[in-house]
Amino acid sequence: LTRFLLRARATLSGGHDRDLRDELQLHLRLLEEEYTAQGIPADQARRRAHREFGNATQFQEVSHDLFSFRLLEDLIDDLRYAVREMRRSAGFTCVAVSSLAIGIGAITAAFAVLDVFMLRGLPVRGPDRLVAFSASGSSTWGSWPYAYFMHWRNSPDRLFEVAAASDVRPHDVPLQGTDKPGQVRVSLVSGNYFQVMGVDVALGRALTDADSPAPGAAPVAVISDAFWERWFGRTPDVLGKSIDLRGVSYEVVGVAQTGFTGHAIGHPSDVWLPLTMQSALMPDGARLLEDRWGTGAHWLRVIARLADGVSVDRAAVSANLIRQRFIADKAAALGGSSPEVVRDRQQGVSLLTATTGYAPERVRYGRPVMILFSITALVLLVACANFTNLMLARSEGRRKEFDIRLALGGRRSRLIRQSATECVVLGFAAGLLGLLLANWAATATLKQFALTIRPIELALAFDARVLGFVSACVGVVIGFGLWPSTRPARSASVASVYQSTSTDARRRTRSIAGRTMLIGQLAMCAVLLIAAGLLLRTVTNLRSQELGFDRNVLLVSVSPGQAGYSRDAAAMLLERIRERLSAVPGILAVGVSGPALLDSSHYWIDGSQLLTTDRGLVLAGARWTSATVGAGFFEAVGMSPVHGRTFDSRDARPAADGVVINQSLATFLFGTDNPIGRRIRMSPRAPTQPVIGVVQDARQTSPRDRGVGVIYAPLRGFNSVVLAIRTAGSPSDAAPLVRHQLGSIAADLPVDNIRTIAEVLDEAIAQERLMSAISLVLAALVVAVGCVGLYALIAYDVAQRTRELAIRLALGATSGQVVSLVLRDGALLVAPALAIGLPVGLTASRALSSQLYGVQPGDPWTLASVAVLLTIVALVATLRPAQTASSIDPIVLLRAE
Amino acid sequence: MQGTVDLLVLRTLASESMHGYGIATRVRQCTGGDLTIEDAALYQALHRLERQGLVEAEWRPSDNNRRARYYTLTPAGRKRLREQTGNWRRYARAIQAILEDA
Repeated sequence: LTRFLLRARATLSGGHDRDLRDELQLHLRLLEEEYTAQGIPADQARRRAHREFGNATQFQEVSHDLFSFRLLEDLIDDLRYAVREMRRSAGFTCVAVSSLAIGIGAITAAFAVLDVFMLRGLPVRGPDRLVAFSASGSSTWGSWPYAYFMHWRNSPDRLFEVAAASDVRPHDVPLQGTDKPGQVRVSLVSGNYFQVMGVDVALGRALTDADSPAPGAAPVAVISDAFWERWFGRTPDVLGKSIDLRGVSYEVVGVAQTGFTGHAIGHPSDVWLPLTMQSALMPDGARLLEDRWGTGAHWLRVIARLADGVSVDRAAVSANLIRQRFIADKAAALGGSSPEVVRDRQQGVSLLTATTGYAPERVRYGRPVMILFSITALVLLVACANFTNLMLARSEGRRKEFDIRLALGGRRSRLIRQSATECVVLGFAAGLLGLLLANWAATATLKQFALTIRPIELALAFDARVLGFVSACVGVVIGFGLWPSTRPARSASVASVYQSTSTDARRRTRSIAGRTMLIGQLAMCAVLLIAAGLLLRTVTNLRSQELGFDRNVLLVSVSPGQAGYSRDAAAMLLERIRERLSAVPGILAVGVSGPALLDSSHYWIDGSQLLTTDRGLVLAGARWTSATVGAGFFEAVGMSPVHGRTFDSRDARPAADGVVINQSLATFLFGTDNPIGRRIRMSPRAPTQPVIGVVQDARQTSPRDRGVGVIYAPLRGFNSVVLAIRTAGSPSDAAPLVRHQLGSIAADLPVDNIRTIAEVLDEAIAQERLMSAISLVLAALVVAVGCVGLYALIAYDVAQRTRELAIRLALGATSGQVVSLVLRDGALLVAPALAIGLPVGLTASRALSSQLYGVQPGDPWTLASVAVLLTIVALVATLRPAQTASSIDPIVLLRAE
Repeated sequence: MQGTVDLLVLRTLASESMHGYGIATRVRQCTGGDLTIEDAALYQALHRLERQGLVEAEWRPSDNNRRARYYTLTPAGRKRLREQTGNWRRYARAIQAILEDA
């Protein structure tokens, strides 16, 4: 160790070298004095002293080695040299680092989102032993009635322990001790939830089964660490404080461990309450714990921790057995032909591994995220290929320097190490910059992402996982860059120093490597462009498709309920608004509807809902939903009846029960029969309702949902409704007028922003727009990088061939011939790139098919435009070097030689 | 001969701390000029010994008040000197025996 310290001191301070010098000088001076004392003249004495001493420099070197880290010093030298070289060729450094940083940044951002959304395990003990109960065939967690949970829970064979939790719901609560409104996100959980999930408490205790003795009997709560911070400012005396929800005061008994926010990813819980508080928390709702046969709401996520050594399959068999026993009991109690029993018998239970928690958004957004990740991987690859090419060109440019250094006795390994150091420095610089870029990009993307999905809160973490990923990327990048830097090792010999001009053979080898890289790069550009093109066409198609209603209609959300209107007062107010607005010149029609159009979050489309007709149970394949509409809606948005009639004043009576269905549903339920007057039932316990009319299909739920059945029922509640207003002129001009009129009719009515259906549509396809925008930007960047690479390669070639081209010109070649010669060079790169890129893109785009709309993965138009675009871009990149080539003046050149 | 210089240096330092020039002079004096160490080799040996922890060095004013680097034997150095002396004596005896035999 002392040796190490000695060396370290010597290296760091550089004092050793000074000591050495002083010591030697003293010695020489003493010798000199001795000789002078013997009567030898001063200058002779000095020379003699030096001679006597021997080889001082060699001694210094040896001593230096003894006391220092030769390797470390070399490394520092290399680093210094690398930085100096980088500064000297700032352009090269800029291009290399920025293209790599974009590549690394893009993929790291994608990884960060992917990781937090899909890959990361729940922050609990043993997350890999958790499973979630789901309906068989479904890929996401199911929801279950309380009765099912209880049966699984009381399973005799103890293969797993089951807990249940409701989905998180926000509750508006005044902030502690103030009147300021705050929001608390609450999840109801079974007493063993924390134990099953494997979650510790930071403070106090977790909920236990003792907290669920009887309904309403245990007003206790465990809060999340984040909520403790936000709501209580992390005071240690939070235990015993209370949170008031719906008139009940819940005592805080514990704080969950840091980082745990429940089983749902993106939907954090603030507060966990015992399941037994369900009816206290939802006083208007059904008493879901008393739902003995599970005929009521499916409201619980059921999670189990498998016992040691139990496989998922074995547990699933057991869960299904328990369920079948329960269904048998249920059939005995309700009758074997009751719709719920029929449905229950059709379904089984499967167990999904729950390691990464519950994220319903994964079903829809998992694939887009994966696709974006793959696209960014391509971007990184292109940047890497570009880097290789740059390093190749650079090592070529410095060949002479290397050769001379070799000839002067430089060690080969030392030269390689120097190039490698440069490559590593570039790689790390790019990694660092990429990380910054990724942080920005991931945050921005998630923000956009969160705007398109219903509020989702993903906590981005640039932690060890992400850093590890970045390091891996940097490793790949360095690998790509290192390959050319090993080339000085293969550098021929001293002879090459003297050979300055005959570099033909060498040029060819460099060209083959460079060309291959460039072709690969351009092929990847083609793949990316195809993906971006298909996504772009999807957006255009979604935007321009036939919606089934007029996209120039204005939609205004109003909430009479919030303004304090009772149901009847709100109904009267809306009627008054309709009358007054219709009378305004320029407004043609005004209608009222329940939830907004084109907003899938308001609709529940599920084939498993029990829709029955007077012909019996209809289960298979009925994708349908229901919507409520008020007076004048169909007319205002331009949906005309195909059969029968739409709603009018007759349907406003409370006793009226007629419904309007759309054409898809009419065809599905009744085929070619006349649907008017037939009766349908929306759930087994609901009353039957007559069909009074059929309207044409419209994209009620989302711009993508073609052929979804819709049952329109008359609007009965008016808390929050949408006004649909058709105007004579431009709708955006009419918006201020409408706002003004609404203000004068009911000044106390809050009016949200007024938007046209076209604008609402744009928002509904925000996710698709985001994807296509990101892929377009990345494709553009990659094409730009490829273009620069192509330009550089061709320009380099032209420079190398100046002599040859000059001779050609001198021998009578026209400048046009020279231009075409160079252009042909470019074409020889683009053609193979397209030959590889197009088929690969064709295959790869199949993975996109679920994201596309109105365009097939192998769309010939897209392929053709990509080919044309890439060719044009390549042509532009080649044109300048070609011009340079044609303007060579042979006389000037020959004179220079 | 390998190790000879080391031994000479260690032996010279056994009685007192000295600077490089002093050591060279002392060796020359003791052997009556029969044995001289080349100065570069002397310093190499000194630095090697320093790195091995057998001698310690410090800057100190010399007799005529010049800054000089003084070398001192460490305990480890003394131990090494004893070993080396023993080795050398055995070696010298062996050589002696052979030379007288012949």
